[in-house]
Order: sequence, then C-alpha cells, then structure tokens
Amino acid sequence: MHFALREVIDTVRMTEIEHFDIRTITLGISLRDCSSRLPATVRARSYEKIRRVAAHHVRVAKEIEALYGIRITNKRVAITPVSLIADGHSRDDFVSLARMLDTAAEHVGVDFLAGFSALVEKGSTYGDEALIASLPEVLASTKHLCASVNCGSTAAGINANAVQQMAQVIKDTARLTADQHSLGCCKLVTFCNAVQDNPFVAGAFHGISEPEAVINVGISGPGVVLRAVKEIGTTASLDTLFDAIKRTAFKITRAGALVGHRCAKRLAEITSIPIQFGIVDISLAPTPAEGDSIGDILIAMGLEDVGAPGTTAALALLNEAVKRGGLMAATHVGGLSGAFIPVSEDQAMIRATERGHLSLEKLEAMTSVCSVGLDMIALPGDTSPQTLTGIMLDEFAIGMINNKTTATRLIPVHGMKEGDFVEFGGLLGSAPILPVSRLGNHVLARRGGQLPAPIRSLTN
Amino acid sequence: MDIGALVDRIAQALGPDVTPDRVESIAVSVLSYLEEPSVRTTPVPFHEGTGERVLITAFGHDQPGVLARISTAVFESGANILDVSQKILQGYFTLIMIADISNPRTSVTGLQAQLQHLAESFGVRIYVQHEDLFNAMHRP
Repeated sequence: MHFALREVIDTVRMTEIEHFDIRTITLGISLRDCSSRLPATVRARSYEKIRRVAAHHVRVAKEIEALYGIRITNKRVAITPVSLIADGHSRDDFVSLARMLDTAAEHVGVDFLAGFSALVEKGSTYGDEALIASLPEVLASTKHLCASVNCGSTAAGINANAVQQMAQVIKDTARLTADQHSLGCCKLVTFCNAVQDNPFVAGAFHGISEPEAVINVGISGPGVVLRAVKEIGTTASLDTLFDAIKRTAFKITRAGALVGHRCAKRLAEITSIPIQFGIVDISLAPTPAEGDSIGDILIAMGLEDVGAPGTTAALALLNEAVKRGGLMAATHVGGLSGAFIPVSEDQAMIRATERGHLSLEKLEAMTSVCSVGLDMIALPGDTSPQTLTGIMLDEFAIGMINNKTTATRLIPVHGMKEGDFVEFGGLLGSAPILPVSRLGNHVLARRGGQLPAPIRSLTN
Repeated sequence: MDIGALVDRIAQALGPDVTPDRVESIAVSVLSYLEEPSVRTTPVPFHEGTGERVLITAFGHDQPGVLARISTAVFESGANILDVSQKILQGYFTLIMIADISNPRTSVTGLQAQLQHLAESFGVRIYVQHEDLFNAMHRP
C-alpha cells in the first residue's frame, strides 16, 4: 500500500478526533475600482463586485471540505479598507455603505465581512475621520461587518489622537450594543502594524498592495499540538518539545496550503476571475470547544495553570515552533502567523482568569511573544476612555518597538463589573470581566499627538 | 533509471571516441526513447493535487458484513477498489481501503453520504478523504 497505516491513522485522528480544522478561508476582494465621489455609486459598485466575486466562495469551500474531510470552520470575505474607496464621504454615507456591505455579506452567505477599516498610523484624512465617527452606529446596526483601525506602526510611530478617538468609539459601541452584552466591540479591532493579508476576522482587510482577488487561509489545530505535547511526556527537554510541535505544525500547514490552493483554483475556474492563492497564516487559533485550547497546551508543557511563572516562555516556545514547522511546509506564509490568546474563546484561559491566575498585565506580557494582542478581553463597563487609551498605548508600544503586530479587542461590557461573567455566544465564547487598574493616567491619555517611530524603523 | 550507470556504459562503448557532447546526445536520445521523465523534471508540487483516489477508513466494533457492505457501496458509486487492508484487534477493526474515483460518474459526496448511512446503521465510523490530503501531510 502506498500509504503507511501510521500516516493514515495520524491524519484521520487529527481531522476527526482532535478538532483539526481550517479556521478560515478568507476571500480578499479589491474594491479599489469601486471608488467614486458619489456615495450611491460606491455602494452600488461595491455591492455588485462582492456579489460577483464571492458568489461561489461558500459553495466551493464546502465542496473542498467534503473532498478532504477537513472542516473549514469559517468562510469569510475581506475587502479593501473602506476609508480608501470612500474618502471624502460623510459619516452618514459611511453608515449607508456599511449597511449595503452587510447586505452583500448576507447574500453571499458569509458570516463576517471584514475591512470596514482605516489606516491612520500617521494621521487621518477627512474620510478616515468620518469612518471612525461612523463606527459605533455601523457596528450597532450591522450583523456581519467587522471593522479595524490601524493606529500605529514601527515605521510611523503611534497616532495617539487616533488612539484617544478609538477609546471613545469603543465606549460608544459598548453603549449602543448594551442589549447584546456590548457585542459590537467584538467586531472592532485596533492595531499597531496591521498586516495586509490577514485572513482572520475581525481584523482582516484586503491590503492596498494585494491583487484583484486572493484566497488566504488561516489554519488551526491546538488539539493536535496538545496531543503532541502530551505524548512527549514530562521529562523531555525543551528542545525535544520544540521539535514535536514543529513536526505537527508542518502537517497542519500542509493541509491548509492544499485546501487554499484547491479553493483558489476552483474559484478561478468557475468565475473566470484571476482569484489566486495568497498565503497560509500559521496561527494556532483556539475555539471555545473543550480540547481546542492554547491554554491547555501551555499547561501540558508543565504549568499548574496559565499565568504561572514560565507562561511567557512556554508561549514563546510554542509560537516559534509553530512558525518553524509552518515555514517549511508552505511556500507562502503570511498574515499574523503566531499563537492567538483570545481570552473568551479559550476554555483554559477562561478558567485561569476566573481563578485569578491570569491578569491583564500578564496577558500584556504574553502578547509580546505571540500574535496578536489583548484579544477578546472583557472589562468592567465603567472602564474610562482614558484607561482604554492607556491600555491601547501600552499594547501598541510593544508592537511598535518590537516590529510586530499587536492589537486590542477590548469590550467594556455595559452594566457589568469585575467578577461578572459575559456570554457572547458561538465562536466568540464567554469571559469573566477582568479587573483593571484604577490608577489615574488622565494627563498622559489626553496629551494626544504622535509617539515618534523608534530608531529601529530607520533600517536603510 | 540509474542515469550515472547509463552514462558510464555509453562512455565505455564509445571507447576512444568519447566526448562529453556525444555521451550527452546519446543519453538524451535513449531517455526520450524510453519515455522516461527528463532528469530535469521537477516533481509536481503537493498542492497541485493530481491524485484520483480516495482513502476510506473505518473504525469500530467488529461485526460481520461491514467490509462487504462498504465494498458494495464503493462499487455502486462507480469507484474501483484498488487496495484493502483490515486489521482486527481485541474486537475492534480498522479498515483502510483505497479506491479509484477517476470514473466521471463517481460522486465523492454521494459515496460519503452512502457510507455515512452505513456507519450509522453499524454503529461504526467511516471517513472518505481524498488522497491528496495524505500526500500533502506526510510526503516532502
């Protein structure tokens, strides 16, 4: 037999028992040809283009899913940052455009369409300002739309004015979606060093340098890595542990690349649009399902719980091993590529925060060695905009100085306080409200301006 | 094909008339006659997915008739069974079957649905997965 029994069983075990899935197949669509000074024209062109290019996206992904017996959890669409195609439009125009995009997402059958975004790391245009001002209403009145704002980069520094604005946007969004536990904030990401080809929603967008249409794949598979770590036992050295994770990452990345290539090829055949394969994002992304947790991997490495001394080092090892294996497996790797630690979407992380083992400060340290940042963090509803500004500035400083992506998805859950528990439902999971420092930072937070780029940005 | 040995033999046969160009031209014509792939041919990348076979794997408590019913379903779908391996250990069986699906009337989704139905009636697990996945995950 051409296939060894061990290999066959290994694959079947991964796909059927250990929750190995393709987390997302994201179709990036350029809307650069949809821009116009007339808001109605932008709406009509964007709607038509998304309908045309993404018409078969979900069906093809399901076909591929069946053929290989690998679950593709999410089929999504990312578009050109909307501020670029509708610059100069008013706040109300952005709200109307958002509703149209939401309808387009509904019609092509995707659960999320991401790219209601602005890139303001060095300053805002009138269009950027209008888009940011529209965000609370957009997030409250649409179902499928995800938004992101890039507030900093290693090259440009951090736009502290934008960070201030975003803190207020987060507060307003939390209030406007109070009846859904401030769900609007789960669809809003603020970034430093946002990447152009990230397939993971909510922070995805189709970057300005991307081609006409592209398929990017985000893999998953914490369950598979967990098994590899458990099999290696408690006496193996860190090197051996590293190697075991690396080998596993190779296999799951290969499967992701195969699925991505096949989807892109099939879509290009059907639509006659040059839809090409872009990258595999070799991120380990957890889900609220038991056994599909990054936290469990860290515990299996030898910690009593996430948050114990050594947690950051364990995460760094995991992150690096996944990258090494993934890089060997796929020719084009990109996106965020690193372990995700969204608190509400990971059972072990939820437990650790409930027990008081994991604080916001420890999470911040962990984000310096993995992707992507303070993700899905539920905070008390009365957290001030100044505190949110401070948390974001800290997180973005880590990204800027270390030349990596950092992001925040903070949810100051309206009406809830420290110790309460919030349910977002589905893949967004649930989370305890984390305690947040009440120390004042009003003077720093209101200064505004631009935090200059670090010396490492001058590489020429 | 051992190219090195072929080149050695040609060189030997040419005796004193041997030159690198003559050896190469003879070797190339021999290889093209044999229709061997060129030595410069690069292997097909794993993601091109050129395979036309599926792997059917089944696990569960051993019961008489499982293999027969699976084989019938595969036959009825138009696929052709190429290889079967079944092992029974302490009352549990593991079945791996390779089937050719190049017949255009074969529907993988139809076969999957059929086998899913069978799996439920026998209380076992049956999976159908295209061979490209296994090649991608376990081959360089």
